[in-house]
Amino acid sequence: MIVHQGSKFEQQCWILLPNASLTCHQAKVLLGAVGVGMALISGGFAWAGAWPVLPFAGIELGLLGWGLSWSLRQSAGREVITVNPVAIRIERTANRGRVCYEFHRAWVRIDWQKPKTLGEPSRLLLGSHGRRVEIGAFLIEEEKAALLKSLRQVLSSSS
Amino acid sequence: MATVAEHGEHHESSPPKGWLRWVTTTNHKDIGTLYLTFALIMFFVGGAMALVIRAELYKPGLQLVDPHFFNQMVTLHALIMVFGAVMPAFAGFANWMIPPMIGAPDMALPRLNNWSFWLLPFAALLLSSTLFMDGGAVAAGWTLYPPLVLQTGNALPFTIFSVHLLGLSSILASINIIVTIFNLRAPGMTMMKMPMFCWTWLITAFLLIMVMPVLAGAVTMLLTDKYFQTSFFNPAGGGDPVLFQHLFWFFGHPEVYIIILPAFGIISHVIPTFARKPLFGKNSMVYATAVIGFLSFIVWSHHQYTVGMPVPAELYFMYSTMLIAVPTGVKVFNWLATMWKGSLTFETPMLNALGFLILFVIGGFTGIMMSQVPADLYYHDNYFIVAHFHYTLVGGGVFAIFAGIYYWLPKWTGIMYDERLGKLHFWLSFLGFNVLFFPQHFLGLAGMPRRIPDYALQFTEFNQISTVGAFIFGFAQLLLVYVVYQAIRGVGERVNSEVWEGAKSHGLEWNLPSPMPYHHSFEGIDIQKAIACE
Repeated sequence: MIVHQGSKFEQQCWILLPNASLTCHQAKVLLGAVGVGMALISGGFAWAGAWPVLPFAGIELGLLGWGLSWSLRQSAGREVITVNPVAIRIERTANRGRVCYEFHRAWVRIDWQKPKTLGEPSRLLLGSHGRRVEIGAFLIEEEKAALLKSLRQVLSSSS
Repeated sequence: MATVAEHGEHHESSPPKGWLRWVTTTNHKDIGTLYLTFALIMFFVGGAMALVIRAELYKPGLQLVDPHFFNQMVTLHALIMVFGAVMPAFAGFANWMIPPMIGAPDMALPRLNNWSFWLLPFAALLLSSTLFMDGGAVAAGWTLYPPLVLQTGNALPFTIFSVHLLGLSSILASINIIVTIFNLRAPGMTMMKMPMFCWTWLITAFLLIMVMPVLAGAVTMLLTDKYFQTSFFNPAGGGDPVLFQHLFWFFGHPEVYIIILPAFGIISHVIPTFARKPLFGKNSMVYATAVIGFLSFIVWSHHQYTVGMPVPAELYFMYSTMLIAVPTGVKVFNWLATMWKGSLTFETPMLNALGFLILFVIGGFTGIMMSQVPADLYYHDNYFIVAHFHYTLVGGGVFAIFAGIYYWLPKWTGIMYDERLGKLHFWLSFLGFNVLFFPQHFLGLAGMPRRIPDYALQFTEFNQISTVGAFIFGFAQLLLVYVVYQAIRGVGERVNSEVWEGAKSHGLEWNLPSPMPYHHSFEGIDIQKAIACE
């Protein structure tokens, strides 16, 4: 998903977000509901004497929680592209931390790299002076095309 | 200009070549193919065991195998078909189809996906190897009831370990499906817009993660009773063997729905496509699936009427079991209403869907008969039960798998399968299945017990008919292998993205090229518009 924040103090900003249809709160509710169900079932059997069901239920709930949180962390990453009269800045936040790239606006080139083999995604590369960075790798092709168009428009206009 | 390309985390390279591709793959389509191939192999292994059983039962008396080996075949046939063939087949469909159906690029947890598949072959190998162990494989039936199962030789711990591994694989697959459906739906793909196959798998995944700890706990208690002197199921030490039955069937009854709900999902796609109408009452189908899922948790003791329960408990389980007919009826009537005044055509997927409908309804009706406590006291443990559950699980589950394979195979391979051979496969399977299992209703009503390799003379004719049907049904499956193999080899007519007339209005996946691209399924497709068209 692309959020374009438009022009502000001669600065254009795009926020690129991977798709995520679950919020952290919804994940907690989901995990809580499954936990209540599991507690009822395994608690009932433990009460009847079959307590070894309990640890298996606990491990499974933990696995579900881990799966949800891993997926949420993956989809929490974002890329912020800022274009000001002098520079273009790419700020990438992922679960491993934050990385920033900055290029001189006048020298920046944007490349649309078509896939070499059928079925591969195309790549949007931005950079200058021998250094290039891929942007929006998680976007679908239409979003990449739209981003390319608006970036080209902004960069081709006089600063 | 020199290029220092800094790859985004989500960029994937081309797949490795050769066998390493299949071992290391995290691609949902590859893993789907692995699941389906594994399921097909296990279908033949379990099927061969069924043919040993039917060959032995061709004549009264003991002909080919001794009674102990016969019971090993009965046990392993069930375990392999349930855990090795049918469940992995549906997991294969889930892997192939859920991401494109919800507009996701892949499953949410791709490495876990790889692991959940690769647990399966080792578990299946371990389970099959118990046949060659001292004392043979487990021969107590798939229900593994103590104290009988505790008489097993060296095979018991290995069987239990393989059940744990098979269960773990199912749990990991379920977690992946839940996370994928909740977190990776495309913008605009709301829960109620989600296709029926995704809905049925979501509910199945919840059933799986709720009941698997119960099975894991139960088989672990068997292990500790046998080797660590505990007495969970031993009355001499204060335990109760009936507790195991409650544990097993608390898992076992939802397991039936774990097998049949994804089948409902496939049929809910096939029938609208070939009736050229939208699915009738989609929302009610979703609610009916959820209700079936809920009811599956509260009816387990209808498998134990003969154990000796208090009458109020028997009444409760009888009425709650009968209640399942209501949401199931909603589904059946909705499928019929979808076909009503539709422009029906009868390609192989539709034939298999209709076969499913007929056979599943027969199995459903005999299920209502068995839900009655007084009647079940007679039906219990005889061939009527065998006929009933094969009508639901093979007539329902396996025919839906056939329907799904023929329906999506052109989308997967880009090649239209051989329709003539597909239809021949259907008719031989349908005929063979009914010749195999319909006479077993009469055998059961006449009093022939299950899990016994010998029988009284008056059961001979129906047993012989049943065995002939088994061989027709079994060998007909070689046709399926040939048809699929030809399509994979690229022999046949190339298909466009839609494959079936008007299919685009029945699911997002039909907007993708055929075959689907290896990576990032939704190149150049306006997902929002495609969802709105459905």
